[in-house]
Amino acid sequence: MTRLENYTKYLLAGLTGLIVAALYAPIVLTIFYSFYKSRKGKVDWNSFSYEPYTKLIYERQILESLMNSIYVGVVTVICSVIIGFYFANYYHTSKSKMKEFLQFIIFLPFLLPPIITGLSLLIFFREINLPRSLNTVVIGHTIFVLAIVFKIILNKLETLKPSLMESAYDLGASKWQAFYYVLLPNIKLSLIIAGLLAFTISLDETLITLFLIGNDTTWPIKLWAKMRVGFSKQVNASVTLILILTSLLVLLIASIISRSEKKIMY
Amino acid sequence: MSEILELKNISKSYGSTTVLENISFKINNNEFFTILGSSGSGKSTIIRMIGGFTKPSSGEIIFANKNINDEPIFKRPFNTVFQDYALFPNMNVFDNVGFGLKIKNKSKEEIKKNVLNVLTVVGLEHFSNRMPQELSGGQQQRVALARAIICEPEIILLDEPLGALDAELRKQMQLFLKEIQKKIQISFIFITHDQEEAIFLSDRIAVLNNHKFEQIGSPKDLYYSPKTTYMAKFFGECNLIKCRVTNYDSESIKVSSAFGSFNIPKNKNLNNESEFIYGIRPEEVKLVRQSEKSIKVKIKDINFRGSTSTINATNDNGDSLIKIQNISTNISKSLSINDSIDIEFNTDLGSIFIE
Repeated sequence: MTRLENYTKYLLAGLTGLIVAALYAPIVLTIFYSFYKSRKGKVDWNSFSYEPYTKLIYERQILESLMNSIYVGVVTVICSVIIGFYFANYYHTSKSKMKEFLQFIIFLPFLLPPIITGLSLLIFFREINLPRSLNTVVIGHTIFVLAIVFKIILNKLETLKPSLMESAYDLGASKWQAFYYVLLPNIKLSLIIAGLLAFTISLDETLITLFLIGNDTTWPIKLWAKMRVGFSKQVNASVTLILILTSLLVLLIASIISRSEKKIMY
Repeated sequence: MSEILELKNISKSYGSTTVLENISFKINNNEFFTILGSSGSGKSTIIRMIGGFTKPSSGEIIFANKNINDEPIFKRPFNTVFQDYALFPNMNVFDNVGFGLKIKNKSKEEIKKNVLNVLTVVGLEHFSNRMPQELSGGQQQRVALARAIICEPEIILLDEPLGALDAELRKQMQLFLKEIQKKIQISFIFITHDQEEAIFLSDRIAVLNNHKFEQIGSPKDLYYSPKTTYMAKFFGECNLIKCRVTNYDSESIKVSSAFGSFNIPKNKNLNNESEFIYGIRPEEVKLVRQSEKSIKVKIKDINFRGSTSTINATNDNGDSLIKIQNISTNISKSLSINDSIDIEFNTDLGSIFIE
């Protein structure tokens, strides 16, 4: 290897390091400042404490908003996976030309700016006199994440051989039996992955939520409101906790995917 | 033998593409019936219609004196062995084979007894805990077959089941299929594009060509009495010679051809002056010593293969070719290219095709 190549290598490595640092430094700092205090830009190294975390327990509003977010997330997962599977299965098995239109409709809310999706849902709910609540948020989130859930399940369905379901019918299974004994076990992983992704997306969705939420509040919205009246250590602490939670979820998804890939390789 | 299934004037088209045109045939009890055709000839469509996966555009499928065109898949007493096996990847061998019984709500003991029984029949009794992905192609094939056998269907439909196997395994599975069909006494409808396979396995063969059945019959029928020139060339080789009747009398028929005149046995379909194509297989052309009945031809080339040799010969003008396959004899020993030889047709085994 020539010297020039060596220099280039180090230069690229350094550049990569800088970019990674720029991307992740804010996150690291957020975690850091949940434990340490700073004054006029100087870190007080003796100020380490868990206090913001223990105090979080007394922040009823943050905790309540977190519970709301989890509620919205869970219900969104259930709705979107069921509807997503139904549409994906229809898209996969139907010969109708309408199915392309269906796919377009499913993807539209995901591709449109969230402001448009949120606003149009708000207008729609007002027209049909549906009061805003966590449930309208669930509807909004479901419509939003449906595209991803649909696509993940559809991809899995398309890897299955058509003869799989046919052989189930051939051996005497009714539609339900074929679904329960054959289809469901074979697409289980994709349902779980789709559900986890739907949950993480729902958890931090802010813009659509902002339009659809009534008197309740979800976690990202609560944080946003809190930021306007100044920073508090508890915000840092709750961000850190959610960061850990979502990282774990992402890890879980990744491990499920790699495990299922290994199974296929086998 | 009694008939159990009949397809009557079945046609199938997808949009403007015709796949099958006016197909009719009957399946007998305990019969190994093969549908033979090139890929894309619509042979899979036939058993997909019997299995209930697609519906015929017109015609009737009759089982036990009843039209079953609209019977749903799971109610038909047939089971299919798919080309890609279609084993359930989420179940082990035992559960795959037991699936049909489980659906029928049989008791656990009964399922266990039957599954182990059938696994023994297909020689996989030690594999019940394996997952399908852990089996070789041939083993997966056996599981797929066991899964069908256990349901005790009236007919097992096999959609090119050996297509994905290598040559060696294919031979083994052919033997296996033939033996097992005799043992379990269930009719098989078998799809293949391989002629040797069809001849080896089948009681009867239906040859599919141009969306229609060219001929249905036993392997011997198809070989010795082909009904069309297509069929004559389909199994093995066949010399096709244009002939014209020159003399028709009560005893025999004299015909003329590019190779000269020869006599053929009486035939109702021919009369004086009628033109036809005479089919004679290379092994039914004999080398003889010159006589009144023999025909003179000139050797173009010789393929010497030890006990059998083939000779390509031409007529005097050199514009017509005939292939001769002979068991090596004293006469053939001294032959070389451009020699004149005398041949005779074994006219008992010649075929007459009137166009």
